[in-house]
Amino acid sequence: METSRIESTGGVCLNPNGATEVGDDVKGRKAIGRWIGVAIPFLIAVALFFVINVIIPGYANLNSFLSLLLLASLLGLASVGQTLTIIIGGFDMSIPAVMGLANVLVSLLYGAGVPIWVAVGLIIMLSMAIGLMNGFASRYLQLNPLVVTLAMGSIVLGTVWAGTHGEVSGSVPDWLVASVSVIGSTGPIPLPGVVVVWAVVSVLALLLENYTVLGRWIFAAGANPRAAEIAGVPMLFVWMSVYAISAVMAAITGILLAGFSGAADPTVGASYLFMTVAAVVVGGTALTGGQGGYARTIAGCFVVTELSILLVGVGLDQPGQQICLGILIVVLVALYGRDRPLSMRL
Amino acid sequence: MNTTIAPHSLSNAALLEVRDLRRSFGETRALDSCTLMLQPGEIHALVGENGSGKSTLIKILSGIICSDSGDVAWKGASARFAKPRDAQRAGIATVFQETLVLPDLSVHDNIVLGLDDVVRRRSGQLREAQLVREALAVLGVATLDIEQDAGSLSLANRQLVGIARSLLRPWRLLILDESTSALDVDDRDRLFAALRRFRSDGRTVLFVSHRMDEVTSLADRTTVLRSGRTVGTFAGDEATTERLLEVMSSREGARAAEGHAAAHSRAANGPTVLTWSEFALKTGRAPLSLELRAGEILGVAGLEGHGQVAFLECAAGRRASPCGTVAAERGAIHSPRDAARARIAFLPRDRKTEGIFAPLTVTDNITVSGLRRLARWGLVSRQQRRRVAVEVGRNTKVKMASPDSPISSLSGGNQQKALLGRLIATDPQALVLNDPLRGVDLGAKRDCYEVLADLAGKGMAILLLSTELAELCQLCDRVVVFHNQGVEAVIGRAELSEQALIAAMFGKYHKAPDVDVNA
Repeated sequence: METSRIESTGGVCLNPNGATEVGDDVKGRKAIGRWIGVAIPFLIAVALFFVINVIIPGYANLNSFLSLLLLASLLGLASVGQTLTIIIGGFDMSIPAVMGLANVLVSLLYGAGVPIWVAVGLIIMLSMAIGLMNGFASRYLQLNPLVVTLAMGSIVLGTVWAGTHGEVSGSVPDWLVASVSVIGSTGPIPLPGVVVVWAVVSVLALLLENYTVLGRWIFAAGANPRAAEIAGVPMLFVWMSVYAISAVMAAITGILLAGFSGAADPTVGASYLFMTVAAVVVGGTALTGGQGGYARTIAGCFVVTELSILLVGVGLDQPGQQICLGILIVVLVALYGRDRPLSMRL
Repeated sequence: MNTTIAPHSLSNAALLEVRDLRRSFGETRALDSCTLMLQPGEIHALVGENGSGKSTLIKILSGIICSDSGDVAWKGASARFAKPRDAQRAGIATVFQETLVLPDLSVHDNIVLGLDDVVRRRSGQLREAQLVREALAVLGVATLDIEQDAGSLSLANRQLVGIARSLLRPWRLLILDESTSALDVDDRDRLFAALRRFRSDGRTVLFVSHRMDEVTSLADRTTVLRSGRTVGTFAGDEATTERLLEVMSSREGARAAEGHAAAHSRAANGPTVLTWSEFALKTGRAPLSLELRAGEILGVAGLEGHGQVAFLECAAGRRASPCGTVAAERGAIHSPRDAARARIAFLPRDRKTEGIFAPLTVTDNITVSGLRRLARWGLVSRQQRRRVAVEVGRNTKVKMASPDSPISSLSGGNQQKALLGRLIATDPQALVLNDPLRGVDLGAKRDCYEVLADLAGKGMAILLLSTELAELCQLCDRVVVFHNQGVEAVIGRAELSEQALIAAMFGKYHKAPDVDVNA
């Protein structure tokens, strides 16, 4: 049978330089067009930064900038999963619950004398299991991911409340507190640990998207699930992987947040449901799936964090901040992040 | 045959004049500067290969679709038929290729279909029956029982019923779009006699046919279309079969055919890739035992819904075989996973919903299925993917600005070539293609023919479902024809013709006694 093998991809001679015979100007223009698309949310982030500096007196100092970076990092870590689930055409509504679970468990376990790395390992395995179930139920059982993850979140949070009755006594190691402190540093790097973690995770996420088989499958699965299935993309594997990544990243964020407040709080992730979705959408990732990516979400995280800081800075109270943040994000998305109308997509 | 040639004046009294008519469907130019002039009292033939624009022209004249530009003059006045009713009112009666006959209605009701007002007038029924009988008598089938269900009629009689329906309204121009394909010789002669009578009444007939003997014996004049353009109009004595075939065919077509002939000679004794044993789609249907060899293009044909798609899906492991087995070298195929392991690649029918990833690049679209092969430890570089896309894209003749441009920026034909490339990038030994060239423009089609013939020449086994008979005749070594969920015939290269395929598709194929199915 080997004799009949078609050497279609291996036996063809290429141009010496391996390039296509197309005008470079066309290629260049296309590439520029794509970069402008990604650049817009970054430009907005930069512009907003200047606006904050102008509006809030005395904001312009290093500590303010570090706290912006720190808050954006936490949001960025929680948004990795939201970005990927939205690209494959789903949602992860269980992110806040998994954050709360991890937050409570890490204080509880460490406070009870469990070594921190054992505690972290357990939490990551538990969250991975939650994510795998999310992916399995959404894809294999063909249940709506919105409902599945909302229900999963409800189950997880309910369990946490039942186990703790809202009273958690525990503690976290000092270095965890330092890693989310503005004055913290990571070895020789004068940045808090969480920022460094975010930088590493961002690079990994971008590599995942562009340089791995799973990454390209994720985009194919989101762009056209039916075609992806026929083209041999292992859809269940893709969905379970993505939801596992999402839950693990949510758990890591929850652990880091334990250092932030010192006390464990099951509701620590509550505001992250809206903020993660907002960061993804403001970044320009389409809710229709298959388009966008984590690079955009990075910009989106800065924009969303800056908007919150801005609203605190102009002296709004908590309800006022929530109202205005909601309005501003809808306005932003309406300005440039809109899905193309149906007539344009057909 | 006593025919009276109606005196037609070629001076000014054209019944219908079409000038520079154009119509595009997306990227495809179906009609590109089409010209046609019909005289009162003539029988005019319209010929051209598939996709040359005949059906588009007829649809415009019948008010089914509108032209993009160009003039239509009806009885000397400019006319535009926005809907079928407009054309009917003007006096144009059209009988389409696929005659719409409702099987649950009686012959009578089928013929008067569409003639009723909103509320049917019972009082006119006697007169209606009279008209129906007259129409059938004109076509020479006065003996047909008009109260029987149309579903019980033979295909030929159904077609005559369709024609009778068109005759009921007052008309000046009758358009027949390949309406004779299902008629036997007697029916056809009776129909032709009727057409000649219409001509002597001063009425005009425009008919499309692929049968040159019909054209040369019946038509007063013949207009030839090629790639949506009018190549010329020939008077009866100029329109010899050789002449018409010559102007109809273009040089590229001939070359594509030659390419396959070369591949064909090499194909004969490759190893077996797929084996059907005692295979049937339904219990009780005659079982099929067949082998697909490396280097062979096996066609699959059938009227819509007659089982050919299920046959294809079984071969691709997307459907379990109802009876018997389909097996590759390593064992029976029950699932897409089995098919993938046997290196069988499947191309689905609907490009938009099952094929392309519209927001992704050409590179992504081509490499998605072959990523596993390219990757090491789950990693695959952008350059590597691009390189494969460029290579495969060149092999399948994809015309693209850059492998990084979105696939949606490509024409439909080039998208289809990219999808073919996706299959090839998985290094398959068999391709299972579900009507890959449907709705693809002519140039891309020719490219694809060459690509497929080339692949077969290199030892690829290809299972090709097509709805275009000419395509099957041109490309395939053998064609399996389905009728009523069963295999009606396996037609070998020697017997392969559009007529044979049509006969088999309608369940009328008479196998030559000594045809060995696995020859």
